Amino acid sequence: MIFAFFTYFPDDFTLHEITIRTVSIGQSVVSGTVTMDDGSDPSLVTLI
Amino acid sequence: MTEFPQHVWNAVKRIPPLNLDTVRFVSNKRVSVILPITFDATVQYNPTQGYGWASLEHADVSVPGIARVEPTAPTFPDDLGYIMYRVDDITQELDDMLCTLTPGLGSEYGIAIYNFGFGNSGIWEPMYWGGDPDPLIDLGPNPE
Repeated sequence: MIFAFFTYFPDDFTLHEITIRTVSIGQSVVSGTVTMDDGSDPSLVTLI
Repeated sequence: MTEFPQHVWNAVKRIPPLNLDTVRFVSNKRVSVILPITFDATVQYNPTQGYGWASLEHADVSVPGIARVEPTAPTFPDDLGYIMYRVDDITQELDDMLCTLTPGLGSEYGIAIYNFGFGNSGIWEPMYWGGDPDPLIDLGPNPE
């Protein structure tokens, strides 16, 4: 994955500048219903 | 799909195209980066860690945690600044990208992603343009 942050002087001649501190890239979260062998309620199970 | 003004496309086209021979297949690992990942924007890319900035123009990454993009003049070519990042060998489904940044007062900026699937050599495509200090970019299969 290749990406870029950019800025420039557009026609309004306003000074544009940015400070970047961190970048986070997420992963899809898959959720589903799970049946427990002992019959208990698993309530909510989230797989990441 | 978000539509961007022509001036944004004009700026994106000026970001240098990638040399795919040097970008692809530098790693023999199946997966270099496991998602989710958060990294300091001033960390430079190296093949071992598999992520970080790879090139820049009119930008300063000398202070850890503070990557600044500052075009230096209102005239070509110094009116464009960028920092390009690469994250290698992601095999998981992408979800989103959250950036923590501070635009200058009244400043707008863009985020572009390289589309390797376009033509023979790929193309830069804008994903965001605005002044949000914490933009959340949808990278899902059908991004808005």
